[in-house]
This record gives sequence, C-alpha cells and structure tokens, in this order.
Amino acid sequence: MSVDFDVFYSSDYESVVRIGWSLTGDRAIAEEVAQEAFVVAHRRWERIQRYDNPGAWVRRVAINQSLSWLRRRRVETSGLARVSRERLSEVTAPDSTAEVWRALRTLPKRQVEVLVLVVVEDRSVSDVARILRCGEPTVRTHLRRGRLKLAELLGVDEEVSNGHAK
Amino acid sequence: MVTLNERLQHAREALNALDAPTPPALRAAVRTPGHGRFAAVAASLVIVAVGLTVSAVLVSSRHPSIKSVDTVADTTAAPTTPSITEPAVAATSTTEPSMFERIPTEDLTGALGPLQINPGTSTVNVAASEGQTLTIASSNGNLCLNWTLPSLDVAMASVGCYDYPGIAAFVNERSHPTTRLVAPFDITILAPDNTQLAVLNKDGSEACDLKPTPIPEIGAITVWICTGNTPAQGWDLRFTQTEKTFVSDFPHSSAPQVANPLPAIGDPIPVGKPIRADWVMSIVSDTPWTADECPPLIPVSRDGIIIGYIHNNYTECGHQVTPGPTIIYDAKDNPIGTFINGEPVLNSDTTPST
Repeated sequence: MSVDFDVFYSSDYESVVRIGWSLTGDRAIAEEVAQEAFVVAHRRWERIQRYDNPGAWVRRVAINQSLSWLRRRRVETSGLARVSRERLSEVTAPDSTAEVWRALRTLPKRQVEVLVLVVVEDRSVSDVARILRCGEPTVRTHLRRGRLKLAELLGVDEEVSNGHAK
Repeated sequence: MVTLNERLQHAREALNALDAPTPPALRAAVRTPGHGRFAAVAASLVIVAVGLTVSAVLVSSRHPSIKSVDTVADTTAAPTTPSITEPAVAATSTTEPSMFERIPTEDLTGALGPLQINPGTSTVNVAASEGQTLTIASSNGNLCLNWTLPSLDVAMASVGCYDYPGIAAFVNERSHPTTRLVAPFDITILAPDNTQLAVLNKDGSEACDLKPTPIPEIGAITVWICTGNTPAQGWDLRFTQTEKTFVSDFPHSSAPQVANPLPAIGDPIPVGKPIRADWVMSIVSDTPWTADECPPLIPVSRDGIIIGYIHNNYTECGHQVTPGPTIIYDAKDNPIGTFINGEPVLNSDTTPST
C-alpha cells in the first residue's frame, strides 16, 4: 500500500496534535511534538508508507516524545517549585477539563498511552493494541487499571462494566 | 454523582472544541522520499548550516555582551515552522535545536577548542553572560544539557546524555524556546564510571553537590545529579574531570544473551560493521520495536570501547528517532569511527587503542 505523505500529514496532523496536547497540556509543545513526529516519518516515508498503519507509527512516536517531554518537564518544574519568582506556563487546555488531563498524566506510562488513545481518539481496544503493538488483553488490563486509578484521583464513580473501551 | 465516563466525555469534547490545529508546512525536512542521493546532499547542507550557525554563535560568544531580558525568546511563542521548500540553511538557522537533535561533532570539536573537556583534562571554565544559553553536549554531539540565563537567573533543562564518551561545553546565545528556569537548578549527567565531575562557582565553591549513582545494569556508567542553589551573578561553571578513561578501566562483563552475540562490555566495538542490537527491544518490552524505529543506545568510550548497553525501552525513542552523524575519537582525538543510525562503527583501518 502506498500512501501520499501530504495526504497522510494533512489527515493525521490534527489528531496527533490533540494527543500531544492532552499529554503535555501545552499546545505549542504539542505542535512541536507533532512536527517532530511527522518530520521523522517524512524522512523514512519510503519504508513507513508500506506499513499497514503509518498513523499508528506516528502516534507512537508522538506519544513517546510527549512522555519524554513530560519527564523532562517534571525535573525542570521541581526546580521551579522551590521559587515563586517565575513559573512555566502550565496548561492551556480549558480549566474545566485540565484536572482530567493532569490526573491522567500522573498514571503509569502504559496506562497513559492506552487511556489517551481511548479518550482522545475514541479508539477501540483492538485499535489501541495495534497502535501500541501489544495484545488486546494487555490493553484491557491497562485500561481497567488506568480507569480505576483515574476515577480515584478525580473522585468520581467508575463504571467498570460500562467502560469506555469497546 | 458524576461518573468517570462523563468526565472523560466532557474532557474529550472540550479538547475537540478547541481551535483545530491546522498542519503547517513541515519543518526542516531534509529528505524527499525516493530521492536518496538528493537527501544525502540536503542533509549535508543542513549539517554544514548547523555547523556554520554554531560556529558563528561560538565565535560571538567569545566576546559575550550582556543581553537584556528582552532578547530572550518568548517562551510562549509558537515554534518556527519554515516551509519545506525553504533552503536548508534558512530552515536550520532559525530553528532552535531540540533535545531530539544532535549537534554535529565537527562543530563541537572544531569550534569549542579550549572549552571541550576531554578525559584527562583538569578544569574547563565556561562563562555565560546574561541572555546566553549554556549548552553541555557530549563530545559525539548529543545534547546533554541546555539552559538559559534570561536575566540574572540560572536557567536550565535536564536530560540524560546517554551515549556519552566525554563532556563538551559551550556557550551560545540562542535561548531554548520552552525552558526558562531559575535557581535552584538540577543537573543530570551520565558519565563513565571512572570520571569525577564537579560543578563549581567561579570562586571555586561548589555550585551544587554532585552525587554519583552507579547504574551497573547498563554498564560502567554513573549518573551524576545535583541541585544547585547559587544565584547567578555572572558566574562561571566548571566541570572537572579528574581521571582519564582507559580501556582497562572498564570492567569486562557479558553482553546480553541474544541470537547474534554482541561484544562484551569492555570489548572494542567491531571494526567496519555496526552492532545490531535490536534485541534491546524484545527483552525489555512487550512492544516489538525494531532497531530501525528506535535505534539502540550503546555507550562507547572515546577510544571505541563499549562501556555499556542501555536497555532501550521505547519511552526513550523520542530522543533517538533522529540520530545524526557522530564521530568516535581515540585518546588523541583522531577520528576512528562513527555512529550510524545510533550504532557505533569503527573505521575499517583503525584499531581501538588499548
């Protein structure tokens, strides 16, 4: 299967930015992450375009880069926390939902990956398994644990039997 | 009571309701699919452009002038996204190197001069003025640390420098677009086991208490972490490396067991062929990344000796998906090999010094 890169870029860019946005809480960073991911995809397009799902590849890269950014950010923020003179811009997402994204980002990495694909992209378990290259049982496990923890952090009811994943 | 599904649904709707990001022109792409030779030439141009930019910045940094706070990049500014059709030079000169990039080794070794810290070198002074960015990079070009002095505050970012054979440091006047931190600051450096490091103020006092933590699971490597509380008053930063790294200093230990045996830690990297370490993915993760998607991390000493194998879980791929050209040097700074797609390769006409 051959896919035109421009078409791929145009069709997937917005989704990849939203993934980065939910993970980093910063639109500028999310766009930077998306750019990085697509630049890499472009460099390797001859190979990547033959993948069954190039979009899965670029999402994995974007998620990894977002999580790496988060990890660095935590180190940086730990220094900032000790002084009050200057703060990094935190979250540009709406306040009403920022709590959800903040809570999500505190979960273990695998749970974050699964949940962000399920919540932001409304992906099914099988889709998530294909994107993350793991088994569906693994996805269900991380999804269940992630949802339970998220519900605990947010102080809301978790409807396990009526979960979001399909 | 509100349910989790309702909260998640609301969060997703709010996210989708935000201004839809439109794809900008792809930034600084150096390859046109299907045109390998062109890609190589374009990549070379980018490398040369980066080199010229870094060199120019370094030259100017030797006559540092005090910059006003206004000269520091706006941390909220959108990233520069030059068109894919722009000349490579223009694209490179306006783009801050991200933590995912590597700095061409030629630029570091050529332009840094006395600022480069080589094994055996005692002390190097790096003076950073207000408004400048101080960057610490490994001698094979990986960006390790990058921090800015926006006013008289200390600013820094902290990232690991994984394929680290030595330290190089230089000052430039480009500020990191997203990082403005003030004292106290944290520093994280990965170094060969037998390296001693210190971060000192210009009066000789310790800027931070650099604490070493060996991580034997990845080889003869120590991670140094410290937190400094020194307010920046035009201070100098000194990295001191007190011990020379010899081949014999690295303990011999087994490489991970794989179908295709890898060189042991302490062995020289193979001459003329890359180390294929795609095993890294399969033993540490249930995610079958390939080496192509996530190049392995193999720390190598300056003289081409493997000092560790880093189990490259895929969270690190973000740092490694765009490996650039890097050079491996012997103890006399002669180039003896290169990193190709993250894999060290010795030149076929060189033998590691012992």
